[in-house]
Amino acid sequence: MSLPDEPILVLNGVTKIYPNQVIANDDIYLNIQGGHVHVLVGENGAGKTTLMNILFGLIKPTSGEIIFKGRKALFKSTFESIQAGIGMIHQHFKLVPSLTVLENCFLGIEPKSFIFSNHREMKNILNTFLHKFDIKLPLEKKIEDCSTATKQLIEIIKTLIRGADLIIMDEPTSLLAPQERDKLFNIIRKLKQNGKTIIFITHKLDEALSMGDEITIIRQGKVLNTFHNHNNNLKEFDLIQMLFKGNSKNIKVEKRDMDEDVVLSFQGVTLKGKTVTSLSDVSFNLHKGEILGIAGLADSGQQEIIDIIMGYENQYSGIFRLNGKIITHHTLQRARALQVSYIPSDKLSIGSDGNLSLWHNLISTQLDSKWVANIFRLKKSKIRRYTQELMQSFSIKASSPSMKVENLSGGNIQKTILARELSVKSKIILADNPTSGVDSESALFIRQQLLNQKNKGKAVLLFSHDLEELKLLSDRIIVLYQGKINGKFHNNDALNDYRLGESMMEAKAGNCS
Amino acid sequence: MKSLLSIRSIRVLAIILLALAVAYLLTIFSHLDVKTVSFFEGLTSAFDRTNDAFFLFLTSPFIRVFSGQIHFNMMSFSQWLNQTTPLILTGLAISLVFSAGVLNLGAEGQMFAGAVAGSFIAVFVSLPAFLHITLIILVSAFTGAFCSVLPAYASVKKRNSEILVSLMMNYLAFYLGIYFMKRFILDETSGAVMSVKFAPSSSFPLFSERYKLHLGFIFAMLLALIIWYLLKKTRWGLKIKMIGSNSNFAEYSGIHLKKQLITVQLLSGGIAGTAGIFELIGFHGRFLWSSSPGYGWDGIIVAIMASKNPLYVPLSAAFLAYIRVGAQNMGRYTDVSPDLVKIIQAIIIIFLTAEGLFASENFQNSIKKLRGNSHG
Repeated sequence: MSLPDEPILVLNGVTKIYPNQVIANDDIYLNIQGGHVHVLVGENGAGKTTLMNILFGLIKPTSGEIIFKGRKALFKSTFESIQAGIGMIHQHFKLVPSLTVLENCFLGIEPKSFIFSNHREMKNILNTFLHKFDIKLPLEKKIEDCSTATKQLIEIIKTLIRGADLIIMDEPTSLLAPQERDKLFNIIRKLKQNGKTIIFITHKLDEALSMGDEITIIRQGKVLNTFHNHNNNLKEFDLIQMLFKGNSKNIKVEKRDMDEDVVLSFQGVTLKGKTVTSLSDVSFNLHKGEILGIAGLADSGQQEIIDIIMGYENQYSGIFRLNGKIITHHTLQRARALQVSYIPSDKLSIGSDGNLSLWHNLISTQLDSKWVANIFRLKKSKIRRYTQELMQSFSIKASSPSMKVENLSGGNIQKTILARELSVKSKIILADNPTSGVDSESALFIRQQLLNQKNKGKAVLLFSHDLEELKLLSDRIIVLYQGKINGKFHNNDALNDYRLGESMMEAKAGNCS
Repeated sequence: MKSLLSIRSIRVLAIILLALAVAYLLTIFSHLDVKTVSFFEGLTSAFDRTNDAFFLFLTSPFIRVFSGQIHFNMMSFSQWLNQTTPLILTGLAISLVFSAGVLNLGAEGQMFAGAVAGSFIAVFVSLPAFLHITLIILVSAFTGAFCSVLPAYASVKKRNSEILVSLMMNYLAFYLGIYFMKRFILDETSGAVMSVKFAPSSSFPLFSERYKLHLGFIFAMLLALIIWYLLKKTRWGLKIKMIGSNSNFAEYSGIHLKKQLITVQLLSGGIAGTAGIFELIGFHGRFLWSSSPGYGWDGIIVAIMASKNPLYVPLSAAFLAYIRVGAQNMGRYTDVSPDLVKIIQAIIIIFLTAEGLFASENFQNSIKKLRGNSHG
């Protein structure tokens, strides 16, 4: 066990570049103090999980060195990292559902007598650990009958039994109810008292502030800053400023008078998730000819709103109207038929199909229209011409219409999605982080396109983690916090980051649960 | 022709050669007699006998050597084409569902049920020949499609595994089929379990009365062309391709996943339903299967060898039928067991599905080089 105030883990310039040239980690330097809780904060896709997987020996870094307990360590497998004293609690648990709690705890390291595992000894060992950290576990229960919180506890105990000094927790609270979360925090504090070091990954700032001795902010694969939180001197706002600092370029925004036609509205929409309510009492209107920005920390209910509008999710209460009509039994086909376009944040597995060629990807939403095919055959030459037109007008750089999309660059893939979604007849455009992970030139182009659509009278619902982008494009901005609308703003000169940031944090008094 | 020389098809050819080579070595080994003669003598005699057997194995579907003269082997040739027919049909059925990214392990049962239902029409209905045969084929197809309703519905609506349900349907189809056959159309005067003779108008046109080469082959080839056209050239085919490639993206694009998946499984069942009937009306003239002939399972092999491309299905079906007919002849005239063909099949499937085999860049580059030279 290492002494406090001495780094147990040092990362020196760790870089990971994937074969498709995506930079997940860019020259990361990090000191983790022994016996501390170190929180890594960042949006989805910021590179936190990749970094931890490198540390745990699951992914090989492109360059850089790792020093663990004063010794150079580059683990080739998880076996080595566990031996060295690192434990990892994954977002998705790695337990055997049909075995009991006890058996899972000792899986692979069972104390043996002859060839049978020695249950009595297993129990003895486990009980000393449970006693030390004041944890109760149903030893003979099968994993499949355990709750999520219990499974998580078992994962923690597993790492302790294997002698971990450094425990990595990857978004441990994402599946927990609030009470369970508090229990987990108590256990983390106990672990800390016993000299264990915790790396805690989250994108929830209140958790970071209440748990972290150090808080490191990661954005687009880079370490932005590390804050020390010894006397609870940190304010959420400091973090928010760091997290959301965008680097937008100026685009000329034409402020238009708002058209009164409401094309989409939510009235008291509530969606119950498995453990927590994921949307509660959400109401807003989207008008023709405006861009409505939706801000908020990750997982504040953005995806749920999209799922309801696109028909992926039907189990909500409240009223959802499209073009004035109340929608029940919504499906994706209906959403498309009612002229809703959708630019998803998951570009590669939902927004496009890399195995198919560019023309497939550009006409996929129009397969039933007459110009694409008659009953006998596809009109290949028309499709080809259409593809070439879109390639030109959206400046998609590809060698031919039949080039596979997986061979395009990230910016060009996003432009392909944009071209498809904006070139069909549409009244409403949902754009979910349309410029994240895109080079700045393409980002500028994409933003300009969204503004053009607005000027043509279409309604745009823009979800973004980039406050600058929201302020640049939106007419109005709604801020979500834990599935609730925590602020509505008109985008005028009076709006600043501070006011937006405020409503992205813990709700104002009387407004929170 | 260019696509026939693609890296994928050269890989298939290489694997077939490899499988034949392994079979050849196995045969030599099994003939090696070192107890009574010296090792060298034993080896030469093993070589000689293996060469004779393999000559028969690989050429007999075409030619017959009779007292030093080479004759065209019409009997085996007809047998070859007749055996190709059901393999093409089940191969098409499996390729079709493969294209949509689902599996159909029920082709065997669909084929069997289709054959039984077709036999009923062949026995009880009497119509002008052309209409009668058309009706038989249609009823077989509908019965096959009917057998795939449950797996399709269960997988799409109830998120059941279509693999399991279609697999279990085989038992249902087989035992019900046998029951109906024995209950209603059993020929009690015959010693074996077989149906009464079909009505004469059901007899499928033959190329040749003597060798019983029937026209099912032409039907299967035409169907292969039609399925290829449907998949490659039509709107429906494009939807199926997109679903098979990435169903999330297809759904997001507004394609009605459930509807298309049910359609494609029903169509596959329909095609599989016709696979067995040609042999019965074209060759035997009665229903005489007391166990399932296995064409549904062979269809999986055919589809994998054809890498689910309907145009390659006739080729790979013809290959499979060829080595089977060859092996039968080899078993008849030499002391090598025709079961050798099962070893070859197994090796081909294992190697083909090992995607890493012959997939290295070196191998692909050298093929490209070879192709470049032959063009230049």
